[in-house]
Amino acid sequence: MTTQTDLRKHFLTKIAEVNFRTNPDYHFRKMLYRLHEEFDKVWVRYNNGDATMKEWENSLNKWIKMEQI
Amino acid sequence: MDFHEYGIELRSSSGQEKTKCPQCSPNRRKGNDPCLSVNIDEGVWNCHHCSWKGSLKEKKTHVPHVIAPIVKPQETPKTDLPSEVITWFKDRGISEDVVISEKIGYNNRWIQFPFYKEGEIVNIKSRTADKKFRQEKNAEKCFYRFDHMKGMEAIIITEGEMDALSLVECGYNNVVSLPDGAIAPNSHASDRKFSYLLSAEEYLMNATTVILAMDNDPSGNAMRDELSRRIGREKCYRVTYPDGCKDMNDVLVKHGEETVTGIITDAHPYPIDGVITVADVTEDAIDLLLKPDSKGLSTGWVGLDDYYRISPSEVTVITGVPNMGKSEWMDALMINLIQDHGWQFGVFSAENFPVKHHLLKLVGKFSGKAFWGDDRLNEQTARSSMSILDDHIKFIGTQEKDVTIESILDQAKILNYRYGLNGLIIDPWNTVEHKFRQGENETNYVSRTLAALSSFAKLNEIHIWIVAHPRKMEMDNNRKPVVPSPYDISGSANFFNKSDNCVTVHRHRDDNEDYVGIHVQKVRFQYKNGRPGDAKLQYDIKNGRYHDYTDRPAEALFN
Repeated sequence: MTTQTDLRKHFLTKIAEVNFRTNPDYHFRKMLYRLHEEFDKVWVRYNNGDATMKEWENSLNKWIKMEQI
Repeated sequence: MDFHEYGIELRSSSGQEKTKCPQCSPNRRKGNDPCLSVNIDEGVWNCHHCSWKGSLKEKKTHVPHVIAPIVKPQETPKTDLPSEVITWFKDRGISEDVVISEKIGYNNRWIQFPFYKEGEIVNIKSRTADKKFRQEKNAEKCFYRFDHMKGMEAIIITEGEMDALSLVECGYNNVVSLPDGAIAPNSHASDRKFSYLLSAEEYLMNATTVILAMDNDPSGNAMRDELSRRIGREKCYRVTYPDGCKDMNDVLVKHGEETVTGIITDAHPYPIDGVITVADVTEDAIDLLLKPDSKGLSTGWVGLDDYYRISPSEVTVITGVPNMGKSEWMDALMINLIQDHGWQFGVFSAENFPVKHHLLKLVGKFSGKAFWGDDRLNEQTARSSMSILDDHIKFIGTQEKDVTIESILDQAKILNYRYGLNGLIIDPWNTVEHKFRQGENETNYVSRTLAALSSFAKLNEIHIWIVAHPRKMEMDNNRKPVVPSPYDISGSANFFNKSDNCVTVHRHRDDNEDYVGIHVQKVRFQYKNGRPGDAKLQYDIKNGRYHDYTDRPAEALFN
């Protein structure tokens, strides 16, 4: 099993536990989308070897926390 | 020596004692007054009447500082260099011709650079290939290649001998280098370290152009600043190295002679403190012109965008009648900027101590959910919100006493270094301890402090908001408070004059409507940040958020 598959599995496990809510506030959603995009970018950087696992994890946690509010 | 020999009579043999002073007591009307304090243990005394003081300890004999005589090197460097040394120079771009013409010597793994002055060797600086340096003991300090600066209109000063030789290699003869290299940044630039300037004073003063080609590092920059200060910035020029090059020898090795010549040709005048030429800012201005969206950031309320936008490096003063929502609106603006633009804030909010209350209000605004009442947000939401807010907000000035503008700026500086602040909130102005200088009145103090805040904002590219109370509440004919202007702020008209933007938050409430008026009274850069005018917002008391105002439909429509 490659590291990439591990990461995907880790991501899917975390996502499965999240209780997604839909906060209707405009500014809130704007931040949510920004954090989501930032996480995407960190994942790409991680794949290119420019970001660490910790950065990936922090970025994911930030986005997930925002989803749970 | 003992006290008796000085005429001091004591009863005790230890401790502290007061007695009559042999110097002044016999001549005083109050001759019995024990005006002389004596510390018997330490053997010292002081008269409170005639100020006679002394000590039993023998005076240290003054040993004059002996300046060692200047010594000239006994031997001249041997100039028959082994081929490895010639190769070493060639690897660094210096040809054999230059090595020979500069009379460089070699002795037991030390490469020797002779310092000639008036045709005589006054010093020899030696180095090994692995950058160990030494100089002749007690030799005269002077520029390397001193004789080549004589009578020159333009003089190039480098930090090391290899840089000077690099320029000689490129055809420049008017090159000298410092005998001791650069000084450490932030070190005290004592005159001793610059003693070599004395002998070169005549030539440096007569030169019309002095090009300072120091290394591109903190020490080099510090040296360049100090030299330019001493020589006179009006005739000093700086050089800019290509990326990845630290000094002139680096440039010669990596880019060749043409680039070295280009660097010297393109040397630009040393900036004079406080003076900016058009050329200095041309590129920045062109960037601004070509930037597709050079407007300030939206506050998050569409209705306010035409009047007030946020740009870094500015100071906004917010005022309003007490209890009309200045701080609430400021918090809401902060949350909008965090959510919309990911800004980082330093917050001094004295009226919201303890911080836990303030944090809960911010969580309500952040999550858009009520933080009090039966339908208040749950613990998980609060924890998640706080975790995100922790990344964006830092509370400062929480030591409760001695909070001054200086201490707030000191803390903000550290926060900016660690987290990269975008915004700083000082709420409110009157809770900060204001320390006036001697003879300074409030107007001068406010002027000075606002200037300091403004320069801090510009230097660190931070937007600073100051919440300030008006001096008194004015009422209109209907006994309703009038919207205060920034000229009404307690303390000084400088709040209006010296700030970049001024905003008044005022709640308008009558039978027909109830809204929060955001009265933008001053906008300095109107082309990007909006124009003075009024916007209407609605306040949601449950979560503390503000929304764009929508007019209530007329009652008649439903009849």
